Amino acid sequence: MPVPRPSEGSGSFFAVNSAVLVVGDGPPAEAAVSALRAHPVFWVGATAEPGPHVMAYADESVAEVRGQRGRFRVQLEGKQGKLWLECGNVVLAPSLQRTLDPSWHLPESRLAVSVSRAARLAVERGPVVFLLGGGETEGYFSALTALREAVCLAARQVEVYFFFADLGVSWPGLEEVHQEARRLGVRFIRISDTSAFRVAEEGGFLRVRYTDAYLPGSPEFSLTATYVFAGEVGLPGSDFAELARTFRIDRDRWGFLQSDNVRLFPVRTNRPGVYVLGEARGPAFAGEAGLDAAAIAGETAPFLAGEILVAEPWLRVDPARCSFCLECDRYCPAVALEVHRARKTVAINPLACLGCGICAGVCPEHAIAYPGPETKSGRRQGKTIVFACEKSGYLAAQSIPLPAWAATLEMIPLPCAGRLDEGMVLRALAQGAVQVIVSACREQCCHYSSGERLAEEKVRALKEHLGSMGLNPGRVTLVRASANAPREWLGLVREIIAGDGTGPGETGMEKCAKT
Amino acid sequence: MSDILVLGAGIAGMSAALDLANAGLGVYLLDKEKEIGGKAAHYACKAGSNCRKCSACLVPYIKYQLERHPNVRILPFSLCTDLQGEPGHFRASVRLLNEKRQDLGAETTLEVRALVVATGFDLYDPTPKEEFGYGRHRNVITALELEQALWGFPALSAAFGENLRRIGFIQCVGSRDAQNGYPYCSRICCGYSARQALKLESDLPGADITLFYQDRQTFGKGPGFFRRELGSHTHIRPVRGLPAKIFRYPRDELTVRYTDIEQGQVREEGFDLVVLCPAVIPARSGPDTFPALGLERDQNGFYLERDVGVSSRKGIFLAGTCQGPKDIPQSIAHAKAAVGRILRYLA
Repeated sequence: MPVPRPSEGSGSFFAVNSAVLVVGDGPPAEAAVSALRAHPVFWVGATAEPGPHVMAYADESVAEVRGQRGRFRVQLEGKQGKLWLECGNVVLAPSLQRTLDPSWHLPESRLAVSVSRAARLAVERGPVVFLLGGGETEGYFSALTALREAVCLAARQVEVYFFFADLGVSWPGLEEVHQEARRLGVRFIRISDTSAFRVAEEGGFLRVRYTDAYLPGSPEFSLTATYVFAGEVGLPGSDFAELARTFRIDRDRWGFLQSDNVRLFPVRTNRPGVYVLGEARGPAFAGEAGLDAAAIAGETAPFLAGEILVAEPWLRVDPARCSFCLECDRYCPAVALEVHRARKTVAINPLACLGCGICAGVCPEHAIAYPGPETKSGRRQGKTIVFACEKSGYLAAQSIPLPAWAATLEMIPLPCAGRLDEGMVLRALAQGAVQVIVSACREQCCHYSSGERLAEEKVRALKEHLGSMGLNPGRVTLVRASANAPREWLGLVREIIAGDGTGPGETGMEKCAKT
Repeated sequence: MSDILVLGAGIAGMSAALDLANAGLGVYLLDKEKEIGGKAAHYACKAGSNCRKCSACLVPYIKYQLERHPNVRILPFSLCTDLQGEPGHFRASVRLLNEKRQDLGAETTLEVRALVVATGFDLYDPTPKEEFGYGRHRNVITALELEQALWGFPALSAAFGENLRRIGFIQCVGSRDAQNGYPYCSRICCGYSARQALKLESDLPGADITLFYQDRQTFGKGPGFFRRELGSHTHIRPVRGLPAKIFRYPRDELTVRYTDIEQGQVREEGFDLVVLCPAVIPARSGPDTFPALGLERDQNGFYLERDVGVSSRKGIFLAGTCQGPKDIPQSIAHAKAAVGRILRYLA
């Protein structure tokens, strides 16, 4: 762990490395390298002519990653052997596997190719056919290129037919290009079903047949084209799984390098200091990598100073209590624990720590101290205690005036519902609370990726525990609502307080008094 | 002298202010409203059984952090009316407003090193499109009005009546319309209307929802959100083509006339609620009331950027939809880009 230097206020400065590692071999990686020109950059998979700030590693690949944000140590492997690099941040920008959109059923032909090849072919005469937006991605990958090429060809008096199912024009300026193409005489023809479209090679030309379902009687049309340019679709590359494993980041259900969680959009991953951009995080317009790269440059700009201020307090591990069971490392969503296997010690890196307190909740030895309001003591007769995630339920409750029946609620904010530990709930019940409600984020919306799932598991275990003690398991309940759903949150809480007819049962105090 | 003045406290302005404050800079965050949060503060959670990734739930927590941040001074009910000085040392005149946005006559001068313009967008007013009868017919509303009804109180039925069985969404009201509106695609409407439709489907079981659209635009993560999420819902029907007219005569219900291009027929159908998705347009409170900023604009009236987040004038940076239509993640990305430029500019 870097040695902190105390500042005047409440916090400490940590020395950080300002270098950035960029991994990737396509235009998104080039966008990242160009946006990060204020930083020293290591570029693994370099394709373009690097600038003076770049150290290019064209033939190496990443073998191992150690350390955390601010000071990653990355091992590269190549023909010349292995070497270690140190960097403060990492940008993952691998390219997708692109194929011709299969929904158009094109024949194998040198005349039927992807729109990205259109600019490189010398097209002398038409008619030329463009095919776009037939597949699932609505022309994400090719709309920009296809429309621009159509304009170029039409401006040179080449006859252009543009078939499409959906025209994705939401990228800035694209609708204007579309209108320009129409003005220049490009014929736009909407296809309702790509299977009604057939292309076959006939003596040096392409024969294009299609039925127009929008016209009465669905008549068939046919034209002879010199070239057919079709849109592309992209799938996560074969190296995506390996990269995710090496850098310990989550992937989404399609295999892109970012879990499907709004807290991370657009460029973050679950691991602080590891960023992803452009199409590597999901289907994207070609220009989106530029905006993402600029956003990443914003995230890494504070590292240019060489030191980062971290506000007090941050979580610390008490080495006297730690049994080196590594539960904290297993559950930490940010991979913020520095594990020294030889010395059998763990430490929390304050630059990588997100402050969720999940580690404190799972530590069986209570070796991780989290300073928070949940340790408050007091009597709670007749109260309903709400342990509320301060990113969701707590904010929902604060955003509206609460009705009179809510006077029995006592809100205790937690940094994340996953922070909850059994002791907190049992203590609240022992102090006389009628009900304990745990308010978590909705599925896949947790600020810390896994906190809401952890809270759900803990509540389930607590219910069993209460049942085995002879208490009503219904006295602990989990609710899920977003910060911007106050009405929903209030409705869920009201339902619990009104009860399911079985009543809350004995309070903890009554139970204790009996035994 | 503080470091930065952020004009506008919507999602972009708030993100920029928070990142700048976390980087150790002193930030003034100015907004004409009482509360910070901008339009996004009253966007509802559109999750049904699962999250639809609209990102609107990010707003309250950013606001919560800003209100407690030692480096941030929030200036509500304020309007920046003049800017003097040169890059590196600007003097901004700020006037106080009352709840009705009237000038109270009080003025202060803030001295700052750089400015972030995050004045956001306005929605196209659909009243001039008389064929839709917005403002004349009850229950012809804008998507923003629906959003606010989904967010809070009173409930949906109290706002628009008990019997909401047939709901229609009309896209591109003023967008992609060079003749009577704005020529560009507004980028966000396909996304939010699909999510609102899914939300209404789960909130109003049995209601039939129709989405009138031109082209399915791309949004969200993963391939084809629009088809993927809407394809399997039997109560949501996407109809290609925009309606021609909404009227209430002779039947006393909202009747929508549209062309069914798949069948080649003109149809008339009754609706209980019609939601218009208006174009995202340059904020009226932006370019016109801040002439002193001296920023260039693009052909659509949004602020022109030299590079991502950099305006045409040195020391003034742009964040969010004042530069062009953006959804919430894109606004946040744009704000972060502006922060990066400012940190390097001040270094």
